[in-house]
Amino acid sequence: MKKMIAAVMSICVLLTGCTDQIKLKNLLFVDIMGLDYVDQDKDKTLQFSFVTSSLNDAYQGGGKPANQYHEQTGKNIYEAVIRSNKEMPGILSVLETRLYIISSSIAKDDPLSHLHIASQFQSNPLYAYLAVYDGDLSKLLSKPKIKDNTVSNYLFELLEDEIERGRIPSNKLLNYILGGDQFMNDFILNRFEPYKDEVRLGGTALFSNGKYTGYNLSNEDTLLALLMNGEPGKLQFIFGKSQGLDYSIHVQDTKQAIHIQHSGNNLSEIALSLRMKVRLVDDGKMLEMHTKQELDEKQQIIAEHLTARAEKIVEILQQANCDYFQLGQQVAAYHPNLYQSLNWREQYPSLTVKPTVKVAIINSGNLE
Amino acid sequence: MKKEEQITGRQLLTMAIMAQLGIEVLSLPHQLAENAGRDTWLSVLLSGLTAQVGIVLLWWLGSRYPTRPFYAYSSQIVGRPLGAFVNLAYGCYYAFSGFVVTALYCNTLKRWMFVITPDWMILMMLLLICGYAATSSLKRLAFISQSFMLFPVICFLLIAFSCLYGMETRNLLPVLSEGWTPVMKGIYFAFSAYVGYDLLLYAFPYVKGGKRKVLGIMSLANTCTMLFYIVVSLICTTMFGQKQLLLIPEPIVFILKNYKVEMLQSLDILFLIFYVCIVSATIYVYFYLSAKSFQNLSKKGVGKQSVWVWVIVALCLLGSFFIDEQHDLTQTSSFQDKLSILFVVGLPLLLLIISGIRGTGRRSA
Repeated sequence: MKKMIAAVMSICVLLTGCTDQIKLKNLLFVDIMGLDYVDQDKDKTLQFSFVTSSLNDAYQGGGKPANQYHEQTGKNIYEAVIRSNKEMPGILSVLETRLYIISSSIAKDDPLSHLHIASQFQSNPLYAYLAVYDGDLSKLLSKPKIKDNTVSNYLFELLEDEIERGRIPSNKLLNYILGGDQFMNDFILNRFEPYKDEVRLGGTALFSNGKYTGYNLSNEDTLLALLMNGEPGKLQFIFGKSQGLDYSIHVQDTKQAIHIQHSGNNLSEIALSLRMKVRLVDDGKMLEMHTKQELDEKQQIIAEHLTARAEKIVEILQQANCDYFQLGQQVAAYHPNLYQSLNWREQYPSLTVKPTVKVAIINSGNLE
Repeated sequence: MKKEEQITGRQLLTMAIMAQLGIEVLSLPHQLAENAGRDTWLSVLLSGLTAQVGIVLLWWLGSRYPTRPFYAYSSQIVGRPLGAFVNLAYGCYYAFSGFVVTALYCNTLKRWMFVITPDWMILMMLLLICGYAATSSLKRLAFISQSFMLFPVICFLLIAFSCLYGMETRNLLPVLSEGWTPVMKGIYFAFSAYVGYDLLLYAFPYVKGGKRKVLGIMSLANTCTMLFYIVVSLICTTMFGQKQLLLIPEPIVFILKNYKVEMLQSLDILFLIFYVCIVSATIYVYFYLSAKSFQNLSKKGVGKQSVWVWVIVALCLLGSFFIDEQHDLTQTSSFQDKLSILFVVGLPLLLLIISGIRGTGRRSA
């Protein structure tokens, strides 16, 4: 009898969730969500672009991925979803959303306030990527295919591949909404830009206090900034030309450090150092052996060149008042009294921040 | 009353850990962020040490009466009518605590998973299962706890390995930036997470081995719980900003969303479901202790254990209809935290002092 009761109870518990069931065939999985203004000049009504993904002809095995595009206006995502559900059959679900794209006009105008609501979704992947698009968002997302790929797959894989290789930052939504885990919501956000009739990654957009500043970093500068901010070496490819040396290196290993120099409550300098162990892949001398002296000279030239580029990056970041390297947090964490005496937001652009890049060539790739 | 079978030291260890680990794991960093800020881990550590002092206190009291459980010797310390009142109060406290834990967990399930399912249905299922378990003997409960022990281990590993997704250790600095006051406030809130070790009040005479072994096992259980909570606090503080922690009621659920497993839709949802094993272990221990204390209202024993348990379950189900809003639940939970300090620290300390003054216990031991 006891076993019977136990079995009935177990079944009851297992069936409890059935009230909440939603049939899979009725769901429209939003793969990418785009966010833009309908007309920024007239009013600030939001326009949401939903790219849903489905698998056609799946009965034969495999199936063909396809996107459906739908756009809707509303005060927030919830309102837009509710309106959409009245205009098309099926239930829009953000259960599998992989990417949120905001337009540059939204990005400049407190975008995070529109995205906080994503945390209210019951089963929303808050670790979906966030990116900005410098173009007509609805035009991009309504494309049926790009290079024989669905738009959603194309954009997502473009991001994911580069993130895995450590070339661009991994901007996940939850890092920025609800107050953000960044010290002052200063970050660099991956930026898509129109390219010919398609789209490509065009570096990163600089955000200060959660808003797009209009300043950007190129793809090359983004990589160097990323390495300076603690990204480990994943054989990222860096190339350049300086003092007649046309070089290409693979970053094998990195080490970063921040040194704050101050006397009392006077912050004199912040030194940002990046040490890299690299493989010299190409220096225009592939068929000849390198001597130790030659390598020393070359690593000196490369280090000087990269230091100059790092200085330029810091200059842009300071112009944009974007504390991407979280120097404010560093000061607040290790020198709290000093931090309290500063007005970080106002003083950051004029601080002396000195980056240095040191390079050690550990080998010359597969040859030699 | 049935004679209780003895349990082994290992069984006491698992029971104590499971009783201590309750629903608090999910919300502790959020609750403490408001008070202790980035020094949450320090509050958790210090409250763990406070709980250790509490364990020594209960052990001291129990070791004065090593052959009888608390409910049997309470009358000897304060006299029969007052002793019965003490047992009645403990019975009500444990029933209320079981109810609060059940309601809190159901509320979490309701918000994250079963939005449409009626509250009473989820609550009833959990109450029935826990009630059924609570009608068993201490040894059987220990067996169930041992079987469930794998789940806290899995939960711990899932939480601990989430740090691979990136931690900002600077979030922990500077330590004690606001002084000791916030940390001391945090100790009060964190202490409720350690409650459950009071199982020792009842289980003391039924553990195989000497008195010292009991103290050692309980200390080990408390250390494991402390480690669990400290890791949870450190992970949450380093993975979320302070503003985020103030807004996110269950940061652990948010952290688990980070895991990408090809074969699983949402690890966080699975975690919440499996967490029922840990929560139910806490609930059935509370119901069991409650029924035992009601049974000990008189020396000969009042009623059957199973009848008391089902009465408690029915009252809890009835009570759930009166707690509808989140605010009510928060207030009830806060009231239970206060009661915990009274029943787990205050009253045992008072009884120990009275026992010491009156010199009861040692002679009869």
